[in-house]
Amino acid sequence: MIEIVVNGNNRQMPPDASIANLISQLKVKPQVCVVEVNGEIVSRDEYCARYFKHGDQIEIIRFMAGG
Amino acid sequence: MQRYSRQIILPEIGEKGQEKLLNAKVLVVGLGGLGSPVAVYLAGAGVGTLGLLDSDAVELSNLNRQVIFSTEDIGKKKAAAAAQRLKRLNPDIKINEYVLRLGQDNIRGIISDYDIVVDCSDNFPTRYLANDACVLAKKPLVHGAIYQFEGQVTVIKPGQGPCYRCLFAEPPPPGSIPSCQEAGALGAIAGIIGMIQATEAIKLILGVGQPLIGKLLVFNALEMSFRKVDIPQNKKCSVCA
Repeated sequence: MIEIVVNGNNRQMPPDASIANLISQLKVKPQVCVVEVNGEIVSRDEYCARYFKHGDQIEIIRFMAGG
Repeated sequence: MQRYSRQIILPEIGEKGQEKLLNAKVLVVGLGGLGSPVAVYLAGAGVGTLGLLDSDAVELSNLNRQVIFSTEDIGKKKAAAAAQRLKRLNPDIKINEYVLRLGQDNIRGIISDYDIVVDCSDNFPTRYLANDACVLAKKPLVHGAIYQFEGQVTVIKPGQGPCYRCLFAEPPPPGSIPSCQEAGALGAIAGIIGMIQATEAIKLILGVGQPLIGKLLVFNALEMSFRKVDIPQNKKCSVCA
């Protein structure tokens, strides 16, 4: 297992885990969020092919428009 | 100046800062849960000209969060009811009412009369429109949004940092994000985010502190956490690049 940081919280993931795996675990639909890995926004079409490294800092930022 | 004495005491404000506030012109887009505290606190602080923009009328279901309105305002246009309340709070400031929706046809003309725009709207088309128009007109934009127990704030200062589209390049598919009407909204959450937006607008007017330029402040009320996330500037951004 590797350890990554998701929205400020530590999380254990298998070494072959992708962004698609993570957001599926978290029950977040890809079209309602933006994902940053180590400060860089990852394009949605790369979610299946983008694997994590130990220590990666992930931010899952939700779209919201309520006012 | 007695009205502002408690803030004039602050070394970051003083009489010079108060003059800046009295000379400032701020447009509040949307008078809902966010726009209510934004308008009240900017009026209280003595922001000299406030534009209040909303096409809707006050409804009973607004009153859990839209604290600028009272039960007797139900049925009145929000811009008119809010203006009436703010004139009672601070008769010294000028208030411009806009009972309309922002669109491609009117936004440039309206924002040209203001120094800062505060986005308190409740829908993606208005948010993207406000971002794009403010970037093109080089107007600072204070963005705030809520969803259930969460909220976000950022400051877009064209030429000095990323814009809304650098983070959210395109709107989500229609219907994929429930509105407050569908998903629910707690008044205190809107109050917290709106007050942060008001604070950021005041900081921009005064030129003090570090505004949330290039940072998204993410608030989660259930965890009671605030986190600042860096927003990278998109060198290929369709609006600000």
